Amino acid sequence: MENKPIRILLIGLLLFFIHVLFTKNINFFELINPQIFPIFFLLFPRSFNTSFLLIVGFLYAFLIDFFSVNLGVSIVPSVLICFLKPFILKLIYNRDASETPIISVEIQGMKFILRYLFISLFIYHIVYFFTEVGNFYNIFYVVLKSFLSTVLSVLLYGTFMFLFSTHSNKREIKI
Amino acid sequence: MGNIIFILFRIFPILLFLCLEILAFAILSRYNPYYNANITNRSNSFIGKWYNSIEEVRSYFGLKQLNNDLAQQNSMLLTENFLIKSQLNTLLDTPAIRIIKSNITLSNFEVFSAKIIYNSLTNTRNFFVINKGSVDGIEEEMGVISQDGPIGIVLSVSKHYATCMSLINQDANLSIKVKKSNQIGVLKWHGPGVQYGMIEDLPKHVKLKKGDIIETSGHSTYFPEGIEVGSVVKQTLSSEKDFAEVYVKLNNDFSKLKHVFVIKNNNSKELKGVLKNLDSLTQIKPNGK
Repeated sequence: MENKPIRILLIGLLLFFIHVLFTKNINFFELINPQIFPIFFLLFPRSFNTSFLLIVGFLYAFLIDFFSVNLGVSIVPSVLICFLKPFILKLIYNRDASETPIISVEIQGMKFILRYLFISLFIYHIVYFFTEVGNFYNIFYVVLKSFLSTVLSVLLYGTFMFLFSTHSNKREIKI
Repeated sequence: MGNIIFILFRIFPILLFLCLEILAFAILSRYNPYYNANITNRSNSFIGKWYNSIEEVRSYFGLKQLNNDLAQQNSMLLTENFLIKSQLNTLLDTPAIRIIKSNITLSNFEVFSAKIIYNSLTNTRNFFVINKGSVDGIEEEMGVISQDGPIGIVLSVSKHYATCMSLINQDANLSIKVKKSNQIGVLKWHGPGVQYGMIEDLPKHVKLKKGDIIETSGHSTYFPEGIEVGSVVKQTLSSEKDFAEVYVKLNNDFSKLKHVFVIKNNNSKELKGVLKNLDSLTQIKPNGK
């Protein structure tokens, strides 16, 4: 994701429509319900500070929730991972990777991005499903659902990247 | 100042994060039907428990007021009780004399609640002081009872306090009767224990059993008829005397007295006048001889 406002906005809109029209309705065996829209603020350029990202995350999640029944459920984990994003990055940062403000496959590498997304999305899903369920009676079920949903989300992202950036060395990577 | 601004600047994202999360939960609880119900339920039970514990603590501080209120209520109920008893008596006893008698003795009792502020137990002449005086309508020679029975008579009254002779005073005489047989006698106290009184002028032929109830006779102007005083413990019959000695266990625990009721007999002056006349008549008779 590059540091251009129009591009950021377009990616945001794309993920928004993918979520509202597609992934929101996925619910395999009541166990897999991937949420890929958090990728928007997970790959948000680091040149913006945390406070700005928090507000963006809040408004974006509010917009997402506005189109689903459970108003407020996505906002809680979204704001949380927006806040945790710098810490997660610091935790798994590849020392070889340069500290550029942009987070992308091109710069940090596919492995790093997938690992980063997996950890972040797992936290997101756990908080999301616990918030949605509203109690702690079925911890195992919620954790399993979070794990499977995270795996599918990361796979979806990976597939998307694989399909649209096969010639990664030649072309500029969009996300 | 600069430091404070710097610190605020540093922690601003954390504050913003917390604010947004709180806002998110607010949205969640306000607009999400499941959360709405769930949070309301939880907060209800939490607030219920919280207020319950606060109320439990607070009620301790209100106990004094509560006691006073209850004492007041009790005095009202006792007044009512005496009135109803008198009316019942008039209904049950058809003879005209009984009607007049009961009207005089029972229906004109008024009850004030009071609290004992000093109580002696260890002397042979014991007294107690109550926190009501002439201002509250207390007069000399009124009877004092607790919930368990008569405990004394008002001796002297100041503006706000009254000194009373306790029933456990060797000068005290209480006119009593045996509930079962209506035998009349006088209850006295000789000590040393505060639990037992003695009836000395009961005729020998009156046989009493352990547990027989002794109550006020209503012959004195102090107490209305039928207030339980105690129960018979034992009866000793000595051949030398004409009267039996009956030991009575008093219902009252004099060491625990707190709330008491002062009984005012509205007809006591009239009754005393009549009795005085009676005395003077009996005195005249021998003189006349």
